[in-house]
Amino acid sequence: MSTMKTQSQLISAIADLNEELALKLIRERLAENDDPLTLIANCQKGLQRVGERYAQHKYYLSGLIMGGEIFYEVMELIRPAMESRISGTSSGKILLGTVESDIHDLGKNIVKLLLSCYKLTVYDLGVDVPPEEFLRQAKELQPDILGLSGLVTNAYDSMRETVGLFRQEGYQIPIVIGGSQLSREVFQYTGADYWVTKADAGVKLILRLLK
Amino acid sequence: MDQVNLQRCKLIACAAVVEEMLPFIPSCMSYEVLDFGLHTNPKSLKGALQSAINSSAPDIETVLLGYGLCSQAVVGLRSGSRTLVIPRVDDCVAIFLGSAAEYHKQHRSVPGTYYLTRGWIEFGDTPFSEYDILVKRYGEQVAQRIINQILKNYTRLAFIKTGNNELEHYRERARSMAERFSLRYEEIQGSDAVIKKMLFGPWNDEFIIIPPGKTTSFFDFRKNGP
Repeated sequence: MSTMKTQSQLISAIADLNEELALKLIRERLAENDDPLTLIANCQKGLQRVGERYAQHKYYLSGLIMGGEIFYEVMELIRPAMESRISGTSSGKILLGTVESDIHDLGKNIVKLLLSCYKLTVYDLGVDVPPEEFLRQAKELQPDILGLSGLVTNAYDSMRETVGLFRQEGYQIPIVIGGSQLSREVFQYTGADYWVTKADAGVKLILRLLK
Repeated sequence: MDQVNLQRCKLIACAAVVEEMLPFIPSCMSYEVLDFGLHTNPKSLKGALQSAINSSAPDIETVLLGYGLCSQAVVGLRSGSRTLVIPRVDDCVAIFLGSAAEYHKQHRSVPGTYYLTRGWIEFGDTPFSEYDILVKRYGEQVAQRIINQILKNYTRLAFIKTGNNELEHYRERARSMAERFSLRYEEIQGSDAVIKKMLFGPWNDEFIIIPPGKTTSFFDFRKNGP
């Protein structure tokens, strides 16, 4: 089992963007049958510190990206342990995409990665997805939840249009918007059902909604 | 608000934006320039903007903000005893292009566009300027991996031609950045329309006017409301 010391070592390795050390620690802890959820939680804590250092100008944008890259590598190692831990088959379908006029997908991809660890079926429509495409795919794939991602301010208008189209068509589905710069006012503007600003919060919300 | 008393106006602008404003700022108007780096942390930017508004000289009646919505950093600003005037735009690209409509048009046509102006090349922490630092820190391979991630959905680098007088120099720098990172290079004609209207009026519906004692809201930036 992991100790507080080994946990804080992993958190620091991610926060310091030390890929080699982070992967080494993950391998060691997996070999000791450590709980994969604890490992993921530690990594997220590390990523949170990366975000704080970016906000304090200690890291540039590249620091955030590097943090995300390390996280992807880490998840590749953790995924088998995570999948064997969660029994049964897919218990939910999520339709995800970055809305029209936006091409940022760092947060969306992390959500997708985490959801796939829970054996959920994730349909990712990619970036710059028009409202009509979300609706067409929803009708075809019959997801349980629609997740609209966006970073730039233009995305808020696309989110509003997409939500509006679903409502207008009478298509009933919980709609979650996600983006690091969202606010309560933006949430109200879009007309969505839920909003999150962090990938892990998005995953928690989706798991709760699927219960 | 057609009659603007320039002596009683103070301009607060981002370092990257003020570059384009300097030729037009009347000598009787006071102005304060805020660090470009603040935009990476909207909370810090909001704090700096509020302090700059609050510390305006007693005779200042109107504060002009050379900012757009800028990751919502301007949302929640209090006007205090003054009137705030802010361009109704999402960020400074619209200021450089001369209207929110033109920005919208550009954005819709190629969402994966990285915009550059002289100010950004000079002061901005763009991924392009970061590349060399990354190579030193992580080596070429990792640096390339990071840059590829940052730019993976970008297809175009658009250099906005504004009225500055060293066009050739900055144009070449923008062009070489595009080439180095395999982006299509384009030039877009800028416009000083928003800048001039902001400095001299009239403040039509392209501007948000926050009277004394009020606070800015996200909905001020969206005419179609909640």
